[in-house]
Order: sequence, then C-alpha cells, then structure tokens
Amino acid sequence: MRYRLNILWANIVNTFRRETAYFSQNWSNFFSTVFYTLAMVVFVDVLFSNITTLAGYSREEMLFMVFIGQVAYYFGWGVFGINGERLNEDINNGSFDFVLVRPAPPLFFVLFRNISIIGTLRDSLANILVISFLINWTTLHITLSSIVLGSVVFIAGQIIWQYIRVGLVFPAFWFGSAKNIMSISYELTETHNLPLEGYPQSLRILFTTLIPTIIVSAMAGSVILNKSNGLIMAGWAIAVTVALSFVFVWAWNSALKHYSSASS
Amino acid sequence: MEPVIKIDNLSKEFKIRTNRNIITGLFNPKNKIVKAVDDVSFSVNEGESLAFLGPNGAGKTTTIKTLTGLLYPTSGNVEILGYNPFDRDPQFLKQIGLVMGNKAGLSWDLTAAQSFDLIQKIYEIPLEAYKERVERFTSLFNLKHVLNTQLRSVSLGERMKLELIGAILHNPKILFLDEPTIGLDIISKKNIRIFLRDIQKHAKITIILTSHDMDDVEKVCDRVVVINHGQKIYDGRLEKLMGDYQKERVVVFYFESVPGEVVGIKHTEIEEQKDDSIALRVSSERMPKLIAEVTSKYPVLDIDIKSIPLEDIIEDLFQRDLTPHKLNVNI
Repeated sequence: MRYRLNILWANIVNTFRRETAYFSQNWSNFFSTVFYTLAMVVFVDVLFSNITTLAGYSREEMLFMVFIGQVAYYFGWGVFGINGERLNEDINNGSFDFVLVRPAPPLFFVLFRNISIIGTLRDSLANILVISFLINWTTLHITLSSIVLGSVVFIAGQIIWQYIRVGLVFPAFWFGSAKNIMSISYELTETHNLPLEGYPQSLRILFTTLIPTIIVSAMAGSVILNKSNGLIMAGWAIAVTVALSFVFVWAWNSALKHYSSASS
Repeated sequence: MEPVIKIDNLSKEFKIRTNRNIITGLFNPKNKIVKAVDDVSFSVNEGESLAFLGPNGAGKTTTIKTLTGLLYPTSGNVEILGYNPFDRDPQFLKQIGLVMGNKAGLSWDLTAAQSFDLIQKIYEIPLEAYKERVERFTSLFNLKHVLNTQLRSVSLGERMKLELIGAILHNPKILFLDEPTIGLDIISKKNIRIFLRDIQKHAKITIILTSHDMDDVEKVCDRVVVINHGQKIYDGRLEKLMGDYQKERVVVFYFESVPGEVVGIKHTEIEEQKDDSIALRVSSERMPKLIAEVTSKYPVLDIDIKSIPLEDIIEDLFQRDLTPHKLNVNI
C-alpha cells in the first residue's frame, strides 16, 4: 500500500511538472471551460424562459445538473482523463514497453499515471464557483443522506468512466492504435449531462447497464436531489462497478497477451 | 555455473492482417502468420556479455522483448533468473534493465532528474544509494549539467547516456540493450562501450546486446549469437568466430601506381582496388609467399595486413545460412 501511495504521489508531482513544462498550455483549459460553462448557463436560461420544468426539473435543479455535470467532468476528465490517451500513444509508439518492464503493477500505473490535481483546480475552481453562485440552493430538496448516497453513486460513476475511457483504448493492443475508438467516449460524455428522468425507459436501462455512462452525474444528481431512491441507485451503481471491474481486468489481461510492441 | 538465462525452443509468431479493405476487412479479416523467432535455444551465464546479431527483421528485438516479458512466446520455455518473464513478477523486473536506442524510457516532458526520482520510487532504491549512483554515473558521463534540463532539450548522445543511467540505477543483474548507440557520434559511442564493459566486468552485470555496429560487439561482448530468419545460425565466443576467419587475411599493397599484373595473382581475391593501392584477400598460409612474390617483383611502397572485419564475417554467416525457411503461412 505504501509503495502504491509513493508512486501515486510521484505521479501527482510529475503530472504538475509536465503540465507546467509548456507555458503556453497553462491557461488554455481554463478559458475552454469558461466558454463551455457560459454556453450551458445561457442555454438553461433560454430553456426556462418559457417553461417552468423540464423532465420534472426546475431551472435551479437544471443548473444543479450543470454544476454536478461540470464537477464530474473536471474530476473524471481533468484529474485522470489523459491516462487513456497516453496509453494509446504509448502502445502506438512502443513506449509502453517501459511500463511493462518496470516493477510497478502496470494496470495501476496506467490508470493513475496522470493525476492532475493542481491543474484541474486551476481550470475548474472559478467555473464551479460561478455556477454554484447562480444556483438558489434553498429551493433544492437536498438532505444529508441524499448527499452521502449521491456521492457513492458519483464515485462509482467515476470509476466506471475510467474503465470506459481506458477500456476503449484496449483495441490498440491488437491494432496498434485506438484513437478514433477512444473518441467515442467524448461523445458519450454528453449523455451524463441530461436528467435521468428525461431518458426514455429503454435508453435509461442502456446507459445504466451496458454503457453505464449516466451514472456519474445524471443518476448521482437525481439521488442528491431526492428524485429517485438513493439506496437502490447506490446499490445498482456499486453492482455495475463491480461487474465492470471484472470485465475490465479480464479485458486488460487478454489485451496484454496481444501486445506486439512497436518495432524499434 | 548456473545459467541466468535459459531459452528452450523459443518461437514467436505474429498475426499480420492482410485484408485492409475497410468494408470486407470487417467480415473477412484474412491474416497471415509471420514467424519472427523460430525454435531458438541458448543459455547465458552470469556476467557474460552476449551480442545478438542478425540483419533487419531477423528476430533479434523480438527475442529480447520476449526475454524481458514484453511479448508472450508462441511456444517454448524461457527462464530468466529463475523466473518466467511473462509472469512479470516485480522481483524479476527489479533485476533487469532495458535500453532501447529508438525509444524513450525517460519522460520527454520532464528533466532526467525528475524521471530518475520516479524510477527511485518504482524500484524502491534506498535514497542514499540512489543519490550516490546518480552522482557517480552523471560524473562518469559528464552529464551533471543536463540533469535538470527538460529531456526534449538535450542532445541525442546525452539523452542515450541518461537512458542508460535510468536503466541501471536499480543495479540490475541483467541489462538488455537494443541498439544502444544508434545515431550517436564516435565519442559518445566510445564512452558508452567503455562504460558497458566496465559495469559488466566489475559489477558482474550480464549484458545482452543487439547492434548493427560491429564495434559495439567487439568492444562490449565476449560471445555472439547470430540469428537469421528467426533461426539461430551461430552461437560461440567472439574470439573463436574471429579466429576461424583469420584463416584469411587482407593484405594491402601501396604503390605509386598499381601495376596491372598484380591484379591477376593466383589464389587471391581482390578486396578493394584504388589508383595507388590494392587489397588482396589471401589464406593466412599463403600470405608470406604472396608478400614475397609481390615485393620482389614490384616497387611496393608500403604493406598493411588486416584481419577480416567482423562486418564481413557476419555478412558471410548470413550468406552461408541457406536453410529453407517457411516464413509465411496463410490461414
């Protein structure tokens, strides 16, 4: 455990060093997320200028969904997001050899190689604060138990997203690159920004089972806002995470056996 | 002495996709099997330095990658330091080092010192020993001035030396080197060869090297395994290989201008001819007679006697390898 914590800390430090190694990249993500947040807030305002609820969600609840969607994005994409891309690059150019030849557990190293805490805080803090100031929190029906259960769902959803993003890279072990396959995860991100209750039953089942992308914020948001049964949802999210863990580890072990290592 | 590397009947096949059509390739992929390593067996003792030679595509790098556990073999047994490399046991991985001339093991975006810090944590190198080794190796290679420079900004020669340091910081028992001097200048190559020989002799590190530069082989290795078309065609001491070929010598005669009759001397083969010199390949036994014959008949200015270069010896081995190969089998 201590060994893994030491490596995690080294990865956090090296991620920060890597992020700040190129001056021009320091603030680009910040501006990118400012524009996105601005667009989303304007969209919600336009949407609710003529209606009072959408899929059972008021303007404040919808802004809360934007809030939790952004937190999910920053946590998943900002902190860990680049690990899938790096895995694809490494397999493609053969640098993955050096991951395998070192004694750190390769799957652990691949999942936690890039941990961008400082960079994500820099990019996200202002945006998160702005959205949170726009929400009238007193109108939301949030309880302590809904926050706890919603957090469980949120964390399970984050783990699932990591699996999806990194798992979509696995075809690279067979074919040398999975860049385009990986881009499917960018499109799937959009699924978790909509309220859970807005989905037709069939899609709701699809996106919480086979492609469980809406657990992270749509389901977590619904639980926190007490719009669905928190216990059932948390149990479901944990069950999906456990099942996906088995599939993920099995797929990883199969993929390693097919690693052909780019020639040198 | 118990071998540290034992390889029995190692084979490695790759499945290569032949139907790349974006439509039909989905339903009818069509692959062919390429045998990169074919039934290779050999063992290596502790402290040995072995060169793994062969033309491009011969299977050298595939063999090294299989020995380091990067590739799963199709068949055969491999045992390194008592471990199966494909289990990737951390205790095994802590005892091997890998340098690849065309790939970066250190992070491009970080400084070498920062990458070394990560290596220290991954290999759990005691901090004092780690600092001492970084100090010693960087002094030896005169690299202290680039230790805190982003890796992408250092020269190729410096980067390769830093890669080498990164691969031996944890004091491995076996060091695998795949083209470690590729693209380097003469001085850098020389430094790396001296360093490798030194750690092999004094730290008893077993070295497995592939290189197309025969100077690397001559300066670093004692033993040679030659592989072609995935099959082993020679395994023996370097000095014996060189010795076997010393049955022939190349004698270079220098003249003001080469007399035409010299070209036709019997039992010789012209190696190279210029306006003022001619190099004749001759058996060692006949060499004194040849020298006597030429010097008595023609105005020779100087004579140079050369051994057959290792490049020529290896090339000769490749050409003599007439084993029928069935490399591609369609499935």
